[in-house]
Amino acid sequence: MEWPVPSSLQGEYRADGRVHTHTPSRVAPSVGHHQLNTARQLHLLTYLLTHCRLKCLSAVFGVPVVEPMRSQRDTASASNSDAGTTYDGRRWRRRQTLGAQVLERTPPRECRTVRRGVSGVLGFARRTCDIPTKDVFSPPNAPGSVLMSVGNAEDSVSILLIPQVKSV
Amino acid sequence: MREGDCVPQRDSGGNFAIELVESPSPSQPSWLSSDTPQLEYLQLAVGNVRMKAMIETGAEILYSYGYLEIKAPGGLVVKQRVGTRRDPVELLAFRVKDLDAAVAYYEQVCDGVARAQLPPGGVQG
Repeated sequence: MEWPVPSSLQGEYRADGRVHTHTPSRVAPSVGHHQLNTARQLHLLTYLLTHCRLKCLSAVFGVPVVEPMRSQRDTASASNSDAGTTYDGRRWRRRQTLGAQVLERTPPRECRTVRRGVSGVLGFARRTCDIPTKDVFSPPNAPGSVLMSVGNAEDSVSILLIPQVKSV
Repeated sequence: MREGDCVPQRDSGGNFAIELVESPSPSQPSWLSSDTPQLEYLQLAVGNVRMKAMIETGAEILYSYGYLEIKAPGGLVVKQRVGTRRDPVELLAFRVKDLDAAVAYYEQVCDGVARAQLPPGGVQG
């Protein structure tokens, strides 16, 4: 199923408001054509639904990404400038595009882990610069959890059993 | 939920299914008030994602960096990524009162189920 996205919106949004169409060389090699189209459409929907928030763009096209909130917090002194340093020492620059804030990170591409709370259960999500694959994700878990898996490697279903914590 | 070229054949067998039952006390976390296993987390790979439909049905988009993390109106956390898979269900997490009994139960009812290694560093206190 194809999303009804106008052809004029397919591509990268530049600071001057123009749309730049990606060349194949800029697409992550691990991204299949079908995935790319689907992911691009997902990004475009995100763009349209969240008023020009382009945070999916990097992940979709295999371009290095930053975590905007973390970068801004760790570079508070540079919050009004157009460039700064991320918490892990990489340079970033900020630009305004149709009211949207876009943060770019300089190469090289990287994969790293961030820890996030998930609905009261401490868990973590791993974020990469490529289209996520199954091993990108990690389940929320707690001490004593048991992970079970059924099915073959291609189509396995994993069941994480988390012991109930007694209320205080 | 099945898209793309992952078309099941006649002998592919049944897919994984989940039945969601509404909690009688939605104001309290279900896992604190129930003796039955509670679905805590769901991870899916789907060929298409309709964010507008999610928002319209009360979902809260928590994260959207290449994949979606969604909080359903009942509190269930769902992660969705774009991908083709014969069975879209990748991972479920249940909070259980009796862990040993739950393990024994799944080993009994799920043919071929085996314990797997948790991700390195994944256990958080």
